[in-house]
Amino acid sequence: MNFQLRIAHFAVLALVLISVQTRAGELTFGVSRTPLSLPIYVADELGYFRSEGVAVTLQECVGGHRCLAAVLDGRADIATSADTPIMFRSFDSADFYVIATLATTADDVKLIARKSAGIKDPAGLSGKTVGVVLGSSSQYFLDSCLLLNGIDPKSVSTVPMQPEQATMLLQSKKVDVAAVWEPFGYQASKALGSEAALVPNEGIYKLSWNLVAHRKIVRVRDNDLAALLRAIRRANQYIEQSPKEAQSILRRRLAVDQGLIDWVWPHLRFGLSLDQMLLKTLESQARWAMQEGHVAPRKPPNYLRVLYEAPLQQVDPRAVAFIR
Amino acid sequence: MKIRTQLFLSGLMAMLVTAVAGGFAWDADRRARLSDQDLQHTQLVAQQVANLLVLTQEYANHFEPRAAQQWRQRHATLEDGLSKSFNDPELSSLAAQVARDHVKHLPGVFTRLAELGDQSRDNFTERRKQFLVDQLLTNTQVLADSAARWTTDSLHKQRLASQRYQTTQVAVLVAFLAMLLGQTWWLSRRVLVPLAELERATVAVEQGELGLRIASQAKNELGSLARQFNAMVAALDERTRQLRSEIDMRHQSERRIQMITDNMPALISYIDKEGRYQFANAYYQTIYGVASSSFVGKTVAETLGTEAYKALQPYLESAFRGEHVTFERSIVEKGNDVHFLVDYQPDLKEDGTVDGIYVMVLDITARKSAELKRAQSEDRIRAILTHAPDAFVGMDDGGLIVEWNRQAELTFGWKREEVLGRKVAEVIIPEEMRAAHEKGLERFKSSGTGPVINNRIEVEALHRDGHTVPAQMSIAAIMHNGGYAANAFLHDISESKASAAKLAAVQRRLQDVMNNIPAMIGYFDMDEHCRFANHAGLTFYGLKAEEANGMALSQIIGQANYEQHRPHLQKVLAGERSVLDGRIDLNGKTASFQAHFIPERSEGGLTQGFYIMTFDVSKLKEAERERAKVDQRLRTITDNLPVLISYIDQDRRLQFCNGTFKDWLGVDPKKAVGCHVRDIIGEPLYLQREAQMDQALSGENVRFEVSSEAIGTSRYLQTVYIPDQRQDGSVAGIYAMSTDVTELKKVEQQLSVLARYDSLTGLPNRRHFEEKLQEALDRSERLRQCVALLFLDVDKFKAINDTFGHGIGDEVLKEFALRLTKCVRKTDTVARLAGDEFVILLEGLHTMEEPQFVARKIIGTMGFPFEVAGRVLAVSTSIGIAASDAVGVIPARLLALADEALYQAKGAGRNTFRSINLP
Repeated sequence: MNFQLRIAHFAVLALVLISVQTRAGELTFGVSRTPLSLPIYVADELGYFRSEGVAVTLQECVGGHRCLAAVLDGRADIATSADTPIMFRSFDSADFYVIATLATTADDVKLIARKSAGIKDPAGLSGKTVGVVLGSSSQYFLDSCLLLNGIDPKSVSTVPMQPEQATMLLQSKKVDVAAVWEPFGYQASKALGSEAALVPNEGIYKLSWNLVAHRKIVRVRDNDLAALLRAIRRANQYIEQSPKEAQSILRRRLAVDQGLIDWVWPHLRFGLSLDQMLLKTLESQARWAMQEGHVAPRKPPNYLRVLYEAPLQQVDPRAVAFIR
Repeated sequence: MKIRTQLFLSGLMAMLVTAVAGGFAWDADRRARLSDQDLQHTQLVAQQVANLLVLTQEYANHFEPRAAQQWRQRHATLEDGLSKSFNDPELSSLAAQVARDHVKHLPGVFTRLAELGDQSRDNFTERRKQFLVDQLLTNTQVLADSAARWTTDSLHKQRLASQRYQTTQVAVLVAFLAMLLGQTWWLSRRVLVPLAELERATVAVEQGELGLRIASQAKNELGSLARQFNAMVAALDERTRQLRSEIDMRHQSERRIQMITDNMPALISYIDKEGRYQFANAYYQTIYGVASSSFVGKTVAETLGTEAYKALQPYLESAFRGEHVTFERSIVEKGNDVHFLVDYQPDLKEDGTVDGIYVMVLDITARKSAELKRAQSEDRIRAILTHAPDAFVGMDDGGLIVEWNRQAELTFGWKREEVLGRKVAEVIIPEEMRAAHEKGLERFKSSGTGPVINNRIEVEALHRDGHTVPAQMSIAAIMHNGGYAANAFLHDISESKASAAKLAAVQRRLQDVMNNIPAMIGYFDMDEHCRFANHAGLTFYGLKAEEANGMALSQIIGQANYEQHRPHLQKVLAGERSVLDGRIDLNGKTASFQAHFIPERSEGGLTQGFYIMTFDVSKLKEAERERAKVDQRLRTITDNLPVLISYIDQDRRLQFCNGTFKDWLGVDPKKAVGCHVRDIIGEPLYLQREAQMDQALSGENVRFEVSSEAIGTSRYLQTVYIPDQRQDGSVAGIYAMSTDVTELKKVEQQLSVLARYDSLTGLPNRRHFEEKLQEALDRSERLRQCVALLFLDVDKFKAINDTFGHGIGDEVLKEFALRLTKCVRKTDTVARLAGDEFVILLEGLHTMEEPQFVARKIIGTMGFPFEVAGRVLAVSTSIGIAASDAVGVIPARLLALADEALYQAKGAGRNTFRSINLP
């Protein structure tokens, strides 16, 4: 490398540093493109982050497992994620904290089957090929369903996929069933048309949609996190008071039709919390992961250490319902 | 707004506030109660969830049927508890929803776990059992968390409701207080304050302060009450003022009456029916010397004394009986007689009884004295009458003489004593008049009128010695004892009669003179009626003097003749003198007359009438006609001579011009007479002759020739002016004669053309120039020299000719020619071609530009003003130059080029030159 090239490299580096420095106040927010992220879209749309005094840059990703990966890779400061990815990643990383649960739903992940595969109920899943997003709630939901209905998950052949691939895999008959969350479940169902069949489930999996923050900002930027949570709380109030307008924002942000909204809306429960339930879920899922061989058996992490309640405590003390 | 309405609205507002506050309070209470209920409910649910959790753990550990039974029972209770919904959305909690979402899934999981029981058949069953237990516990934990959150939320809501309830209570209280305060304030401001003000005002009015008003503008009952109060107080104030004014007036009136009675020079008093004075004016004090007030309450006898009372008593008694009594009374005071007029006027009541007497005693001493003086005055009048210059005869209604003054004695010869008591008719009226007198007297007695009454008439009166005396008499009628008496003044007018007779004689003589002069003289009044005509006039018109008197002028002289007179009559009636030269047909012949109209003026200058004096002038007119015939013969001769003959007076007005003026100038000789020469022949022709006219008027014979243009014909006139000198040497006018010599002149000009030189300027003419030009061209060709031809004319020469005449034009051409010759060398040729056209031939030139220097010089020279015949004119010239050094140039060609160059110079605006060179 000659001298001139070195100078050029130095200049580029300097520019990057300057840009990083100037953007030091901003929080990069990895947001999964799902109806569950609605409060974040509303807060962004209505300028609540700005008015609460926190600069936020949204960085959209498909699936909470990817958003969480972005945080752990240092590409984002905070991210949305379901409980399952948190459980999985907590086995090998202590670089993140859950600072709040944004929403819960009992009907986000669905099993979309091809009618031609002859699957009418969970019992029909045995021996079928199932598309599953590994390391995500998709995987946990599928096993829950199988275990609940007395089918050994090992009797099902799984095909690892990404959620956006579900439709394609079903259409190309590479899978009989796809375990996928919204809006991909709806999209797959629509794409298959009369060929689509929704495998009934008893809704025993209560998915929690959480905010995960990187360790480097926790405690250091608690005020910014609190401001962020305040903005989201205002967004929740707005959704409760003006559901039509909130739905309109969601339609615009996700570029989806009202059909999807009507499909998912009745099961969405928006509200900030940090509960014992989350601990229980994570622990329960950790046991499942080890039992089912998704994770090598070992001593599971103490999930109390994954939770960080101070910012939420600052915003709404009643929302924190666990004892440390 | 009315207070009634305001009170009603206030009550309505109170009701409204109460209703609203009550509503709020009720709502807050309801919410508080609901939140209490909710809290209790959530607490119950939380307890049930806790029990369920314990049972779940028990069953997972030991799989006892008892635990399963209890679990199902507990779950059913819990589900029932959770399904209770609340209508109020504020009380429904997200946590409750979550709990409801999950509670229904639990039995499915629990049943599957129960089916597995406590046996461990294989690895999958073990894994499944483990998973189900975990699911059961996790979901129960979700329930527990939801229940806990629900409880917390309810607690929070309950606190909020409680706070709201308390706040509402306080707010309601404050609202009530504010309303109460507001109403109190309003009541005080709108009702109590105006009432207090009204009360204060009422008290003030009671204390007599009537100027006070309430300043309320409120549009309510109190405002209207205040306005009524104000109106009432204003009315009261006005009435009080009126009363005061009436009292003042009455006092003033009484004072005035008192003053009048006090200042009247009469005793005025009132005596009541007891005979006591009730009132006595100040004059009592003047008369009796004691204060008039001291009379009041006393009787007449007490105040005036018994003696006086006795004298007055009968009158007083009559007055007390109700009669109006008036009488005179005299007393002697300080040696003088004092007279009184006493008037008793009874003061009658309505029933006719007498309440008292008004007494007025007037001191009439002065009147009495005046009567005495009048009697003395009558004596004086009589004395005056006695010495009056007119005879005065007084006659009573019986026609008897009662007065006869000294002048009557002198005029009629009777002494006063002799005629008093005798009849007037017997004494001074001639016998032949007596019957008429008696008749008139009878009428006069009864009516006081008659033809001689109040008139000044002339009568013949009888003297004692029997002769009559002419007298001017005026009689005045005077009333006497119900009949009429007469006073007659008679003035002897014998002397004035004699004077009138003398005047009449003079008039007669004057009339004789007038009658004998050979002219008709008449006097007419303003209505043109004849009042006098002399003998000649009467004879001419065949009238007698009586017939003529009062006859209208038009009637006397006939309507036709009157028309000639009419304009002069108008003048003379307006006060101006006038003369009429008239004609009248008389016995088939026409006679001429001259009538003089002379106004007669009064001393004040007003026209009263006029005289007409008419002379026969027929012979004079005949002579005039003869002369006119001679004039006409002369005129006929002059009119037919082919020359202009005229006579111009000192003021240059034509007094005569012959018929040739019409032929040559288009001027009517008759109309021209009296007009100024300039107006007849026009300004240009006049200017041509003005100088010569001046010369002739100064006494010189002048002969001159001039070219004139009139009615389209140009003539060359030879004119002679001969002054008409008076004996004293002064010039009265000019005899002018102009002969047409045009033909002669034409011949002259032809001769000039035939000659080699121009007669006007003395320059070579065209013929001579053409010869010279050919010679010059030949010469220059031979000597190889340049030759140049300058073609000139005078700018706007025609305008000079038209404006100032040909004479001036000729003078300009002469001067122009002279200046041209001065601008060139002696060897050069200057010639006049025709009119204002000149040429200059330059020979022996070294360059083709040389002629341009000459041209500039000429233009410069012509720039100086021309002084011609006493006038200063600006003259300029345009020049065209043709120069050549070529061989074989034709003269006509060179001339044409110069003409072309001149044309260019004119086109360039004149007063310049243009040059064309022939190569």
